[in-house]
Amino acid sequence: MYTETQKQQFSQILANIADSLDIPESKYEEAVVRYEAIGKWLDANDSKLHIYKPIIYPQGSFRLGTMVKPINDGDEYDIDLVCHLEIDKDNITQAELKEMVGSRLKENETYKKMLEEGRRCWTLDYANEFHMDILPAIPDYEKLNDCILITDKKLRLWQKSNPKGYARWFVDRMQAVFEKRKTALAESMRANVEDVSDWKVRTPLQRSVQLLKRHRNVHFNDKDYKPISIIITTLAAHAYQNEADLFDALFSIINGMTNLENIKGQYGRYYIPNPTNPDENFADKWNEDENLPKAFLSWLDKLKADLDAAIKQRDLSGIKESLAPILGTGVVGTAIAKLEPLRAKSKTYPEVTFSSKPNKPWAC
Amino acid sequence: MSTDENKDTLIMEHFNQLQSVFSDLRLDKNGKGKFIVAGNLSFTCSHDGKTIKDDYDIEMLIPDDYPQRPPTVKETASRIPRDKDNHVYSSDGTLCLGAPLAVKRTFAQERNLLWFVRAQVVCFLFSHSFKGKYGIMPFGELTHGPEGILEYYKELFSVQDDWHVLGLLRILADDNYRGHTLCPCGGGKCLRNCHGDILFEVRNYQTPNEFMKEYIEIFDLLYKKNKEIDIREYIPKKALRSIMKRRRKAKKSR
Repeated sequence: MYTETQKQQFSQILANIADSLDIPESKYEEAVVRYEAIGKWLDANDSKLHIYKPIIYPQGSFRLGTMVKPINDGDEYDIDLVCHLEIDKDNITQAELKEMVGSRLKENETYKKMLEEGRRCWTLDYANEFHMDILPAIPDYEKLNDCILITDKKLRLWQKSNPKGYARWFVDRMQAVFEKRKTALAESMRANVEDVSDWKVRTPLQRSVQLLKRHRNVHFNDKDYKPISIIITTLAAHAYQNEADLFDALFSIINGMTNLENIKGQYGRYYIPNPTNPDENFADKWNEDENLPKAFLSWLDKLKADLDAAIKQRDLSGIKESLAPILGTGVVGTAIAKLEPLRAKSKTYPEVTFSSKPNKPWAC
Repeated sequence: MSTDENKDTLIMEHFNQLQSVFSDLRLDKNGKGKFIVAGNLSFTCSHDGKTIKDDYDIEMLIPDDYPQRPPTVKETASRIPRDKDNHVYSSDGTLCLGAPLAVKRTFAQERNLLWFVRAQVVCFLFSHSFKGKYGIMPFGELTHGPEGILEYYKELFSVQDDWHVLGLLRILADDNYRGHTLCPCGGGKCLRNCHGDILFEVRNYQTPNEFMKEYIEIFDLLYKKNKEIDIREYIPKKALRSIMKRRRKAKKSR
């Protein structure tokens, strides 16, 4: 049981929380400068990669606007990048591609010290700032449309991916609200819509994904079978109905995600296809271990109960107490503190006039 | 839609209207699943050229038969001492906004929360603040107990004589209105041309039994003052039985 005003306030608190989970704008800009510098280094005239027209572009939550601050303040943001080279797969092996990108990075004294090799990517570790995961990739000429092939140390075949296509699909799922928000933002900044960066816009879908991921991170901090972000993001985007209010959006997303009918494919197998490539099933592992879907559903139940309890709180301190353990004391504190001065300022004493003969108090 | 859902929707609507003016109130359910409106009620009121700006923490319980009956109100921060002199029921802290019929009658003008709070709750709290600051109740107050009810009825019926009040109240308690009979107020006109309208109006707000209860309390009060009176002249038939029963009980226990 809650009122319109309670709901609005709760939405505002959730938006504030998501805001402080997001990568700060200055950090974002810094990250862009950093990865553009990497791009320039790879494409420099004396680089062996130059002829393959290397391009660096962001993918994953950094591209989607669904980044979430790490639980521990000291931890760095993960930024996922694709390093795209124009090479036909028949002319190169996975190992050669990986090695090519790695050795060019190692030619730079600064990068050399920061470089680590992962299963699929090279990681540049900017201490106390972020990890930049650089994924070497080549075009998938069989598919086109931004499809790429990526390397994997453990798998013999090239792995398929399409981060740009996925991002386009994700934006498409929230198109109506996205355009509205962007126009409103442009107006508030007194700028032209074309001049406003997409990155500045946050829709209830993006906010919801951030909150879902954050709750997951806290919930699975000491538990196994943590659901992967791509499953959460994909199911949330499917469930989103372009609600303009964050609270409405979050609840309908959670309800939509809990509906297993959407996840069960043929023969009762879990099937969460990559929207840009139906052959790829994000829920492959769920069919190998029943504990994964079980943990996923019980996490969503817990999230629903947690939010239900929080919105019913009578005052800000109650909301704070119920959200802090599930989303983090720091972010919740900041989010609520932002609200308090607003409320104090807006305290009004409405004028009331009485009839000529008001009732006289009595006592039995 | 079920009646329950209709009622919930009505309460939500009324609450939203209330909150558009008094923004720090919220709608909630208490431990027993009943609707309550709670929070901080702030207001600015003027009387006699003196302005008071104040706020109180309150909790209103919305009755099951709302909007037939008005809510009841408590002040929750213990600013108002719980005693008769401050017009608070000591047992549960409910504020006595006025004589029972007065509260229902004012509420009946517009059966919604905003009107109730503006016309009755704020008025009561303002009076308390005003008395604290200037030492007097701005709109007066009623004596507690039956005496206060009698004062209220005298004002309502515009009559001076205590027994005339009883005569009018008897009609309500007996639920026995006859327009052509002589009005018991002593004015010499028949009822329909005298107190008929007001009796007709107020019988919408209380049941005959509720009027009867008030009648008996006032009668007992007056009888203590004047035992010479021939009670049969004033007592409604139903009331007579009930009074006699109480008397016998009282005698026995003595």
